Amino acid sequence: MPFDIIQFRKNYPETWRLILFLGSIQWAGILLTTIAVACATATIMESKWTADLAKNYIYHAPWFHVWLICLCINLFCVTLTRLPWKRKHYGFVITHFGIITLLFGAMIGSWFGFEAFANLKKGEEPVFRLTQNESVMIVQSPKDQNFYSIPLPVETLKLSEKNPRTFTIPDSKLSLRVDAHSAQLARVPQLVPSTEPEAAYGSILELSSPMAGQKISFPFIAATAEPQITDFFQMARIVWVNDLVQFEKRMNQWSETQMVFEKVQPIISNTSGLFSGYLFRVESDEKKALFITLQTPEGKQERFALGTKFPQKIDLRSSKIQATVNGYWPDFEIKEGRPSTKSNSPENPAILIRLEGKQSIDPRPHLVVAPLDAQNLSFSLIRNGASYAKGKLTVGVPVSTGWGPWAVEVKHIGVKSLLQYQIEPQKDPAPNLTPGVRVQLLDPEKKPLNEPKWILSGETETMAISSTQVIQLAFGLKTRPIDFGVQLNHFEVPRDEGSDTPAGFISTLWFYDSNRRVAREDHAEMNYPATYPGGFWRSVVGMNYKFSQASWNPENLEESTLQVLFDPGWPLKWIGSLMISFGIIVMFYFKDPNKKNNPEKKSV
Amino acid sequence: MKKSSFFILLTVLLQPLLAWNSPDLWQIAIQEQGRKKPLTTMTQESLMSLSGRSSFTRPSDEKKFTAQEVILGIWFNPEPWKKEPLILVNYRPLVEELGLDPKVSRFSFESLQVNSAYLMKLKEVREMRMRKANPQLDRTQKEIESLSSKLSLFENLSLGRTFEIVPHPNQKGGHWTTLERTEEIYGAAIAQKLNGYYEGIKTSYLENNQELFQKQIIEFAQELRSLSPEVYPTSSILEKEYRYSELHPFRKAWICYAIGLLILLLTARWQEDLGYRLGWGMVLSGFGFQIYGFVTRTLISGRPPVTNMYETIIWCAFGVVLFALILEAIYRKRQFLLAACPVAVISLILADTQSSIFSSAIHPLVPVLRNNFWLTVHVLTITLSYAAFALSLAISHMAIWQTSFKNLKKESDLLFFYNYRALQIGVLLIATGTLLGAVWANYSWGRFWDWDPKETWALIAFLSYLILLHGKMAGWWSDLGVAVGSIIAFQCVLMAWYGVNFVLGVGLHSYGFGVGGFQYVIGYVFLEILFIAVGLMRYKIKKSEI
Repeated sequence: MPFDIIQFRKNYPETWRLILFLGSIQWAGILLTTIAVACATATIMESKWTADLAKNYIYHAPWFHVWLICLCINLFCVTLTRLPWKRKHYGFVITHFGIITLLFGAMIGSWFGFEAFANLKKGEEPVFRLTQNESVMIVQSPKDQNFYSIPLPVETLKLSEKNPRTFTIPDSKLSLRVDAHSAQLARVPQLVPSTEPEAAYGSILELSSPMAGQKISFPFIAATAEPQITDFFQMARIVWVNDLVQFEKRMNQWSETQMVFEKVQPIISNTSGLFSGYLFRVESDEKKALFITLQTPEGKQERFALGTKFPQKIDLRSSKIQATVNGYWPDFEIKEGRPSTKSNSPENPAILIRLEGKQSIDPRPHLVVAPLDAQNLSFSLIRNGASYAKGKLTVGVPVSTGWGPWAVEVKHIGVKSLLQYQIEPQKDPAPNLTPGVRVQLLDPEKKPLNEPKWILSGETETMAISSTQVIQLAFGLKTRPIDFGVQLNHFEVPRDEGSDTPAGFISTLWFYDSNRRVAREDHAEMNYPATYPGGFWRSVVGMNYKFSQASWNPENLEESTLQVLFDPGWPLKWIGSLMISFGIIVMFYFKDPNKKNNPEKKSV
Repeated sequence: MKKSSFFILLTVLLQPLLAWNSPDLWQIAIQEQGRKKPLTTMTQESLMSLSGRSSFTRPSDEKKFTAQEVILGIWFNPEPWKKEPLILVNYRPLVEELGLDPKVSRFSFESLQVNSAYLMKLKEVREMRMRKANPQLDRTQKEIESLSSKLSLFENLSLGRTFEIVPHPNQKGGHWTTLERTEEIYGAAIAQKLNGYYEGIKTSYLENNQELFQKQIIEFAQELRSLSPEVYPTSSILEKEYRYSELHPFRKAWICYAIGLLILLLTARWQEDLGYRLGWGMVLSGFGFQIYGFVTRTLISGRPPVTNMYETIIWCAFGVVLFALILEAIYRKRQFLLAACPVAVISLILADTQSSIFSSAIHPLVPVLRNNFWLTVHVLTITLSYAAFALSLAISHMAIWQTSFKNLKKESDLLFFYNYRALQIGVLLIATGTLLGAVWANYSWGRFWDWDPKETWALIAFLSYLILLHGKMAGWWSDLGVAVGSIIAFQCVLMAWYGVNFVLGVGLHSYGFGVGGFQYVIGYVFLEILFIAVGLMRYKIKKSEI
């Protein structure tokens, strides 16, 4: 053997003692036991609280990593203590080196690789950046206008006014103080009294359900003459009008005028904004007699002879609609801005038809409110076209809507106000809440330059750093540039037969090179990820970017989220795994062909 | 009405129900819960879902009804069935909160439907779901949701909505329809014809005319098949599934194992040779039933049978017996079978009876499991390792028994060695299986190891057995210590297999979250601790006496 272990032990006794200690089985026992207990504790933490907490306190904590390094040292040293290796040691050495290789691969993966995700929508431009699961603050430097990304791991920092995070803005003596984080920020409407010309009568309604513990605000301002209609969980509608009586009158009526021609499309105008669905046409037969033909929304065709006396009522068998011919111009032309006829001969016939009827009554209940005075709104609750409750809504007095447990209350009336939105953290989770941080600019002496302001994730905020200069700030998830682009070309969710449950997910991805040309197409399915640049051997050595199907949006089948992995440590991981399994087999079953199988002896 | 006359009236109303199983009902196929199956399977699975049992005994006259009779009865004549105590509510606190009779655990559809406490609680839970995407529900609330789905199932059965027996005209994976909606797809003439058949079987069923019912079922099946012969499952596939469910191979397996165990125990000292052969033969025939069961189940479902708690437990029972047979063939000692059989019998009995935890229904897989190669390799390896550790558990019990309570040194030394052999298999398989899981995860979820609770507990179990074996090498404990340690370390396996899904309830391995059985598991753990404590104490006393 080129390396004489006996000589080494003689020459370096202290080192050898250290190796014996570091490779001792007692030390191994302590390491294994503490790792097992730490992991068990972490799973309980994860079950009681969150996975992030478990990751930050245990799995990804620095001390755990140090502990794993100690384990590697222990494994390495114990193999040294068995030098020179004999046949019976082979399995043992392979297994222990396998574990070291695997852990080493994990280290390489975490240093040189990364995990990210890409939320892609079909038809969008290819993205050359991936999103990672870390929060950052993006700050613009006042000097060169460049943007700098500063890590801000809000999930683990417990930001508060007593415990803020301050960092300097690059290229300046100013700093930013972040003193709060919330995952549940909402834009809360507020009425602010004002003397501006746009200020108008405004009100904030709140619908609350004590059972569901929910409170939803509906701000309105009398900005337009048209009714403002807001949907309520698709179950009801809230309508803000200027005049309640007029609205009720007009609610169930609509009218439509059609200027119908023989050769061109009709000109239609409708009070409800929606086309009635009745298609009229003027037709002439061989005898040059004129007919009005009509196609109902249901597809039925009808025909009426054009009369001579106007207005002519057309008897449509559908009782909902009344149609009247109000004018006829045999040879239509516009003269002085009004319809007129060139001659009496039907060269270019045009008919003016007016349709009126009861609107397809929206079966959903409506809450209609209108301004009354500084303390009250007038309201009407309507169902199936008829009002079942009417009256005054006074500020601070809740009224039951009759929609299950929901009650409505006027929170605020501003006779002359502007509607503004304030960002505020909400207590209870709800959809449409965004995470964000509260930020304040500080001068070189650490004195505040402005009021603390909430910045919502994904939005850019502008702050003045002097009377002449502003900088931009943003908060969100870290993005990582890649030297290729990804685009979602197609997304499919086949279902189990006869049901809605997804049977699988298939994303078709197009990869673009840096010249924005399509370089590769691949599919990402559950269990079959897409790779770029692709190729079996590149995957083996961990030099492929792997795109796995991660999640989808059941409400938007053009959207797919892929998990991206680049892991140069992968080859060490699978090689280490093979070594471990192979080593165990050798240790257990092929240790020493000469030794008899004695029930008493089980030695190393 | 007096109570007795009410019951007489009820009995008269229920009289027209048949008292047998139609041997040809399997010919009618139904598309339900994402796959096509014979109507017989659907009746069994439905009754199991509603009632937790495979048959129903009517309390008024102790008459027994098969699953077919109950489910067809609900379809043809729902009113009387709405009053029968079919629906299982076995969570005691919920029974109390709903003000139901605490002495029984099954209640009628009618009484539950109008139970005001139930309705109020259900509303609460629905509103919680409206507020949050994944609300934290307590046990009672989860049970309320489960009860609500049972009531929905009953209602859909009584209205015929579940019976999607009319095949899609041309698509193999197309959605089948009910008799009510046949007209939309096949037109009025065929719809009328089918309804004629339906009325026919309904009448002959309610009139208890068994012969006519049989004939009409066969004709009805042929008619339905003729509507879309390419789409309708073949007769042989339907029959195969029918035979599988009639045979109850896993039940027959544990009966064989139990008889084998008995023979081996009784002939330990008397007629050893004959007993050994007989016992071995019985175990082998039980094993044969298990193989038949697995092969058929795999063919029916199109994938290996290791995707839910039921399948893993029957596979573990198989693995225990498999390893015992292999080791027994090497060492020619009945100890392995004596150890393996109790484990297999208990596991299979649990699988057979605890339907709320172990559901034997065959369902299509969630997308992430749809990869037969990785599924087979990873899950089978891991569950086989559990089986090996279960064998080690049983052998350890025997070894501790021999050492502490009987003190036959040669016997116990042998058992310690056999325990080591079982541990070797287990450690190899759990290491390989866990690493295979990591490789599969690297592929399926884009990361090798993410400290998911199931992954982590597999690692913890592996580490426990490693500590056990290294401790023996270091001289910290003796062979007896290894036996005791095997029992303790097995609790980690139990945690990885049952605890992660049922106690922690978090993580990506969310294919089988459930409730129930917790008290029994705790009870079992407590008994183990007791056994170890008593065993060690006796050993210490014995040693000091020497």
